[in-house]
Amino acid sequence: MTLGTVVIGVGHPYRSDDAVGLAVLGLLADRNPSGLTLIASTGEPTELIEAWDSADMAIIIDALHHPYAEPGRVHHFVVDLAALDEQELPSAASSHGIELGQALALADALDRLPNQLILYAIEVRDVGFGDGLTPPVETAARTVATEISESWQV
Amino acid sequence: LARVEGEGAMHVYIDGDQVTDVQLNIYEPPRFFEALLRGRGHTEPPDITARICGICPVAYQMSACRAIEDACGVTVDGPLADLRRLLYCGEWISSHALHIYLLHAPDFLGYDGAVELARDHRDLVERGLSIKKAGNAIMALIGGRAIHPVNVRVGGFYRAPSRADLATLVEPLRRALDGALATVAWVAGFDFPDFDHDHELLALVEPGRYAIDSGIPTTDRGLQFAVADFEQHILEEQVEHSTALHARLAGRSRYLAGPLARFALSRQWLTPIAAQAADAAGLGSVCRNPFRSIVVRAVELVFALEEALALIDAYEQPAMPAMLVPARAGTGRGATEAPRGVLFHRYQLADDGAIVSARIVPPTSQNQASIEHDLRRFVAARLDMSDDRLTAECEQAIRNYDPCISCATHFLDLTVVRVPR
Repeated sequence: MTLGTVVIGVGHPYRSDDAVGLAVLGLLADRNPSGLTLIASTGEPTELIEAWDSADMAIIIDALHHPYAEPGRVHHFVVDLAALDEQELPSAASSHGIELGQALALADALDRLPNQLILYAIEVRDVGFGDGLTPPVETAARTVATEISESWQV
Repeated sequence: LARVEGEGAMHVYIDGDQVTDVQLNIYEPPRFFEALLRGRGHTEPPDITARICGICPVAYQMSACRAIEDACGVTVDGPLADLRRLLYCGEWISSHALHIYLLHAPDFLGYDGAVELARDHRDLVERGLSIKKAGNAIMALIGGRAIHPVNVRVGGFYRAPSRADLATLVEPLRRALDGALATVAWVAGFDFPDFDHDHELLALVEPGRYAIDSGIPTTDRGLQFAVADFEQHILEEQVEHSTALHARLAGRSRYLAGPLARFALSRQWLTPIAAQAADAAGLGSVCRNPFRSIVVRAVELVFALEEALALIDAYEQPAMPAMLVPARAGTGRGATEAPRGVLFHRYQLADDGAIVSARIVPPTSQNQASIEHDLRRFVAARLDMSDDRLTAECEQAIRNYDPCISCATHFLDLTVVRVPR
């Protein structure tokens, strides 16, 4: 069975702006999208692989955390899965050092990549303990949710 | 994996040929959650605390439920308790399979991580993922979903599965049991450094069966106390270098919780196939080498799969999916065996069920003093290594304890400070 398009929101609900991927999922769920399967994830590589295992297309939304982040700035990538080795993917805000690149490399080794992968990386600064997004990141979440539902909803 | 548990740093201070200090710094989330819970309703902790850890949400849910039910004077037993134990088996299977195959095994085989292992031995990693998937299937069916289960509530579940529902798990679990037995044989053949610890071992003990979801805190040196007395026997102290509290046994010293402790204290109650696997792996009655914890975890994997199959076989759908747990003023405590060791919760409730105070003692912080102690000895024997090599070896050594921070291949900032001469 194919899932068609899965939208995977990565983040932690109690780490402030780190939750932006989950917030986008929540906004999409409110719109009752057809043709999109919504999956929340902690970002652990095997979790991501299972999430996109049966999908033609995976759309991942994650927080991008770096010292010079401009909160709310959105990066949109179409990941070239045929050239994984050469690509520098942005790492997530995860303090584990677990990067999406690692999940992709593992999936590649196991021949379990999705056919297409779209990545929305939203710059964040505040990933301390707390619930709720800061205003610029919340605005970005709405923008991304709108874009996804308008672009990929069946 | 749990983002919140993932921050850590380790500092090793070396003066000439002496290790002057080893500090493992874990930025510990439960303190935040303890504050977040105050004022919330008594039905909320299972869902909120499940978010503390992405790998062991069920452990947090189960300890929270037990503590709140204790405060409200309710005991959940019979089929609902069995269903909880089955759900917990799912988490053990998933967590242990992840740690063994993706985090720990690559260290013994000379790979940087799971990706490199998968490139050379795809079949092995596939086997690990398929075992993990069987555990996830239990969590998805009983918990509502595999990540952060939503079907758990104080008193039981929102919905109890039928026997027919659970029957769908049997074949995948049987296949996973075969895979787990192969896992024990595989990891038992690794080369293990000669390194033993002398920590007191602490685990829950439930005479008659291998403790998971309940039991009496017990050590291998004869100490036993009720869960209600946990905070009298386990003292947590601030240390300067870490936001995590360090735990020790009152009037005693550091201790170690987790698979090695459980195995030492409950080996006699392993299920038959798991007991045979432990014998075949040469584990003996106690294992004190943290590097061999991978073998113990593999044996626990076999146990959890056998136990899950037995629970499914004996399952009768309960008449109601949950017991009523009316709020009342009081304090309750609960402890269960998370994959990484004893996890304790305590809640004080007002008469309307509002949480007055909460306390959470996770296994990783309990083990922190023992990990530092072991690392100090480990580093002392490797001072002639380059800092890069020493960093890699320390990371491997820390992964023995499966702390939540071990979830990434390169999970922590490790600094080696040598005093200039």
